[in-house]
Amino acid sequence: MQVWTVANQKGGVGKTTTTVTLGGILADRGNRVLLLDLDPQSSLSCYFGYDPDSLQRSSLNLFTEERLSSRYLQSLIVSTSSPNLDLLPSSMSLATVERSVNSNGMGLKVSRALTLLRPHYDFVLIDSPPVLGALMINAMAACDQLLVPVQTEYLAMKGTERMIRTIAMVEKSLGTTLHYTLVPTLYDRRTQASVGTLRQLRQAYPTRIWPSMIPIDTRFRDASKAGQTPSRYNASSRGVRAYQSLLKSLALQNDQRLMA
Amino acid sequence: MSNEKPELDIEKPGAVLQGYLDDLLTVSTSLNMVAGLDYVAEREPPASATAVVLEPEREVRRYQDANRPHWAQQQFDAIIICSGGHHFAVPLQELASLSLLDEFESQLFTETTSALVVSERATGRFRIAHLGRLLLLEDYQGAIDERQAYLLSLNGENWGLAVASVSDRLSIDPDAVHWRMDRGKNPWLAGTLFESQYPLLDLRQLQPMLKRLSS
Repeated sequence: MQVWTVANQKGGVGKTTTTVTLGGILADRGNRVLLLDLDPQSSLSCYFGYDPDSLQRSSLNLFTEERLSSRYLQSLIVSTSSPNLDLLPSSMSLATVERSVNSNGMGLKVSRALTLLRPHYDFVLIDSPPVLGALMINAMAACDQLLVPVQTEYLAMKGTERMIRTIAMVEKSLGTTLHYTLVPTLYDRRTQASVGTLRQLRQAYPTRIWPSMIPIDTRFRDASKAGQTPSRYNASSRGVRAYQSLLKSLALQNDQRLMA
Repeated sequence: MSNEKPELDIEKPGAVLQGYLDDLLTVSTSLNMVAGLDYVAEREPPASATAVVLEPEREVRRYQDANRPHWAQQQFDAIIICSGGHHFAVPLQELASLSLLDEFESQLFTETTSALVVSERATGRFRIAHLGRLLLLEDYQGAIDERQAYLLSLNGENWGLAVASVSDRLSIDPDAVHWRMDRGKNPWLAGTLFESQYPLLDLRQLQPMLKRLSS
């Protein structure tokens, strides 16, 4: 089982779209995929039609339940409109985790919980909140691969610097290296902001940035409205094709890492 | 106007943040007394910890025998552990630490009948073998709900052994052991204690078994 976390301290950069689209494509290919919503704003859960206010159980239980078991975790998981694609939804009350966290090792709760799901899934994709706190740290500590969507606009550089500083600090605390990839998103080739920012990002992070980009695509919004993954809604849209290309690149990186 | 600095060091936000992350991502260590042993570290001890491996102050009498492991060339200390309803003697010199098995990791064994589980730790993946299941295989008599409560960690290894209980600590004269000349099918069995008939484990020889299980 591989765990991929999608994170950025900046909001509106395409985290949920990245999570849903990659998860959807992986599930379409026959992988058993779990999407884990760790964002109290619950965008991922809402995407599949779940009301975060009415859910009896959610990812909050990963933090509140003292004795987790595989069976208990499976009782938290719900299905989505796509075969092979499950969801562990979030609720608004997940925000209380930040207030209640005070004990050592609390940042490893998710990592440990996911160990119990290892036999059941090929991939777990975590959507994290745009705030540096216990939830994001749990998501980062649990992952084998960190994806950092970066919106190709003027404020991106500052936000990316901040995120990379955070990654370095988490690495120091964990005593290990995080494999992360910057993913340029919401690219609009008609605007100077997109073109210029992408160039700057490539110059500043040549080894960390995925060489291509995810374009703006209204089909993402349409798929969201239909409650379907973008790949099931329209498999040939340019946005989906871009994410397929990202998957190829990540698979190549994984192979290189394994051979190293 | 007071020039006193506030309690939070706002001049070093990076350091404050790093401290916060360290707290979140580090499991605390504390020491608890356990009957029959000196100290048992709770959760993960630091790599250098040698909580129970205490060098005894005594006259050293040397036994030169090529058939014995290096730790058995003189009088040695061992602990008696139990897993799967069987007792085993484990030489202390081979151990980095004896700790209480994390409740979560202990529970992993109730989720599976496998002899090996992999735990995600802050320091990376750590393989834990259930000693009873590993050694006794189909002869394993342990109750399905036997809780493995302790973790034996080895020097320089990223794996450990889960056992149900630790009952005693002995100082063993090598002449009080029936040493196996030919390890045969059980390379991990160094010998048998004459008095109690407990098997004496050669922990290093378990490594190939773990590798086979992992692959």
